Amino acid sequence: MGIDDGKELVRLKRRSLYLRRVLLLLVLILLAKAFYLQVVRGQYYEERAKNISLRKYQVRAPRGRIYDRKGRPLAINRPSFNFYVVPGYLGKAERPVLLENLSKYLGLDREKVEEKLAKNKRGRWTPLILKRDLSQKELALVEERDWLFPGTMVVAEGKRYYPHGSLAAHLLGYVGEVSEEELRSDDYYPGDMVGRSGVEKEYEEVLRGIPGWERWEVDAHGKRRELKDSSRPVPGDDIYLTLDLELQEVAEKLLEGKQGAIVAMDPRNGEILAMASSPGFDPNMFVKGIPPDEWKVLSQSKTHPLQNRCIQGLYPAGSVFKIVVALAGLEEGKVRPKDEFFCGGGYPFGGRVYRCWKKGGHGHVDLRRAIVESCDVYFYNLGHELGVDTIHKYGAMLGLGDKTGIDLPHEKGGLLPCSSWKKKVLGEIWYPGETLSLAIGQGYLQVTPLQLDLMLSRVVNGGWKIRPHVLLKVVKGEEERSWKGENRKRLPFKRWDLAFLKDALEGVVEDPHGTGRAARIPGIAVGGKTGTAQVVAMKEDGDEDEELPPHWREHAWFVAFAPVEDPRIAVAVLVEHGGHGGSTAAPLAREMIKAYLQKEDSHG
Amino acid sequence: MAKAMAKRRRIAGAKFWDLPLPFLLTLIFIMAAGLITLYSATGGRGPFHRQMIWNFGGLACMFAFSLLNLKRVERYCHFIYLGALILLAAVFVIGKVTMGAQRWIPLGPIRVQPSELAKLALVLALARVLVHQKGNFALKDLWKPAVLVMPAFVLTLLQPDLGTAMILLALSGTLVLVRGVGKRTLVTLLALFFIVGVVGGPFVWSHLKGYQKRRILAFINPQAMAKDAGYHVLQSQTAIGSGRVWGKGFLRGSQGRLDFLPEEHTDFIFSVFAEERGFVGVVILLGLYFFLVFFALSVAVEARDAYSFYVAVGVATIYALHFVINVGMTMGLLPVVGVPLPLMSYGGSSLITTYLGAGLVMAVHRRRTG
Repeated sequence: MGIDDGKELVRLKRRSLYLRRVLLLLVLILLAKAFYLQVVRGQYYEERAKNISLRKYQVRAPRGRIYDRKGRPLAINRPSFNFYVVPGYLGKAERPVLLENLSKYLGLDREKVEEKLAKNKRGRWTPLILKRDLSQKELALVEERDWLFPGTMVVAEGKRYYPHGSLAAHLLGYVGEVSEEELRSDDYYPGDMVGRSGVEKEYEEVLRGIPGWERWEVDAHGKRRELKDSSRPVPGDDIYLTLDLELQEVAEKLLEGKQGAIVAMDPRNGEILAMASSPGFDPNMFVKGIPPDEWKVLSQSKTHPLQNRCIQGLYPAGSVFKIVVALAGLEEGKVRPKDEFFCGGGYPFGGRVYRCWKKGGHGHVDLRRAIVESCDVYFYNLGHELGVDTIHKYGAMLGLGDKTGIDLPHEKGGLLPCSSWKKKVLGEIWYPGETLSLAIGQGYLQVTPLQLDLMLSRVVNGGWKIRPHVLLKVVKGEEERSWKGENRKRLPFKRWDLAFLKDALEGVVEDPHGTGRAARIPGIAVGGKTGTAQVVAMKEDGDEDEELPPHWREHAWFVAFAPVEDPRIAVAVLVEHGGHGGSTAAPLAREMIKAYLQKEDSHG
Repeated sequence: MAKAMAKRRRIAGAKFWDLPLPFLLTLIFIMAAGLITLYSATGGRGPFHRQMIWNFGGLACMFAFSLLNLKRVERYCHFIYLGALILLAAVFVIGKVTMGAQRWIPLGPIRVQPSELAKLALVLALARVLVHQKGNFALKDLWKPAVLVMPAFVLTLLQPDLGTAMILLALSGTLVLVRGVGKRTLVTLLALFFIVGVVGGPFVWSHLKGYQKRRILAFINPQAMAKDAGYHVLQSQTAIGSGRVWGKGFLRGSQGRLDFLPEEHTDFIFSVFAEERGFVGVVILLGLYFFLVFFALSVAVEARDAYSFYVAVGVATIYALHFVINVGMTMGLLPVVGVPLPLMSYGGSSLITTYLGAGLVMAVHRRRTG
């Protein structure tokens, strides 16, 4: 290693001093050029910078469209012209001119515009939206007399449009302008439209797309002169829903003038065929920015038009819940189909009498008749034998008491009581009398229409543990991604028990004494179950409903499925304050099934 | 004898805080200027925060590297270089394409640009070859460094990353020249370059990508190409020039902010700086870069052995080539090639490499001769 200790290293080091001189020379050359650019030619470049600059503008990605299962459009984009201002161009001279002309010609409130400009946190060169969707007249004005509006620009952009108005509004949801909060992340840009509810919110990531940009040469006033380069936005993916547009139309027509909900599902796979909630709203109202007073009406109305009753409305299940209790009784071996209880119109228990809806009583009833004629006393007996926690176990297996996991936001889970729940939440023990209320679907029990539809579906599809969903597939250009549910699981129910229940439910509709006869359709075997959800506490006397004021009247339930042998549709109907399910809700279910199966048959 | 003893004691007792302070301070000043400018260029959002994190990570790496024993590094340097080559090759298999070139390896949330790390690895490997060279390089001795640099050069050229490929070549050339080249060899080499330039130039030209050709044309005549690629240069010159003597001030640059170039916070950060700080700022910034390299060379001069010396000179050369080429291209002195400005351009790979290099310089300083 002679080099390390000798003169070699010293020589090397001395040679490295040349590097310093070369470096100094290079830096001086750079400085000379900088001197030339900044000092000698500084004024020229300053002028040039004033007159010409390049601005990069975000180009919004077209939002993905939403179609029904057959490809009929439910949410699309319409061309529209939006009016922007770039605050950086508003000097002392331009600002008052612009503000005045905005209020004079476009009717924009001066203070609101000022507030918008003051609140802007994205820097002076980020365009702020002044007015969406200019009319032809306004467009002509701002284009022709652009000197009246310094620092502004018009951009052609897509605008969300729901061609069917309020149709399926709750399911589709709506879009609204991005909030200050959301802008704090880098995901959004001022003026972006963001899904606020329904499918628009649930699949925001899919629908959103990726913005592009354009680099424009602009003059000193921000007017665009030439497009220099650009990167195209990537449009959002299109979504196909499981929804059937025609069936949805039928559902909404049926609910017209009523408060209530209809949900229809394919019990074989959980695809939602229709989901209607009434009263509704027109999502197009939100696109332009909804006026505060209209928003107040919508959000504070006692009829809750913004609420999707199918997944957010909570009601006692009423007699529909007897399906759960019957299944629990059969599975647990507590009752055989032929076992009979005597119904004398009431069931004395704990010092009071729990009444059957039929004052005179049903006499001796077996399980089938108890379901067909909805005998309460039978289920008091059975419920008492089962106990609350066994009933809870079966209700939970069928999907009650918890969110169904449907791909929609803000779903409610409802309440399926059990003894430990009561201990934990109310701090009290469970009283056996409360089991009797639960056995006929009243008391603490709270379900959504979707949950009842799911419960029915899981019973009539042979015990398959399906999950409801509204997404059919996502389409990105040529590429398609279909809904991928989890592996199909089967609930541990005995086949003959399920077959027995299906037969009994068919009896509800077809038997002469069935409570659901109003749902009969000639030529189609329909099964179903009525229900009445109490609004106020259980009545001791036998007052007729018609004498009560409407908002005290009970809610009417009807769940139905068809055809019985191999069900292709399961419907849950709820009519708020509709009285008895058999008379008010059953005909709606009938119409739904008729519309769906007849159409299916004629289309093949 | 006593001198040798003192030397040994000094090395054995190398303290953690035994740092080349002038070098370190210069580095931190530039880093601060870089962060402030990036804040202005991006409005202080995502990239700024990420750059902040990269800087702190880089500083930590730097201190870790400063503890290295270069004797040990010398032993394993060929493996390090081989690793870098494998990464470079891997880019073609799993790389991400941006702007027509394949330079990145996606690694979870971050992307690694192996060509940056390759520069350091080359310095480490080349230094060892130079140490073993006896006497000045004769023409026949040159095959060794040539063979060493060739794979890295070809791989970066194929990505295609013209800037880095040229830097690898210039870096090796500088180190070989520092080692010493015989006069006859030097003349022959110059002649060879000239011939290759004349004959090979058209050949290379026909194999350049479209955007590379446009950039070179734009360099030759920016005004004529102003509608196309030339506007990068023209716009950059406009930004720099409009800063005039005193600059427009922090956040006041109208040209530089966000909009004017595709790589505004990466390759063209100097334009943003020059617009906001003016000629005065440019003098100070270029002065800082000069001293960064100057102090790195000062450390080299104190190096204990030849290997350490070459490593420090190599790092200094990397810094110098980067800032001269980058600043030169933003001012229109050189064609636009993708070369980042050390410590200022946005991007983790470049930053980390710069800090790792600084760590090596500090390692040399720690074990210097008394």
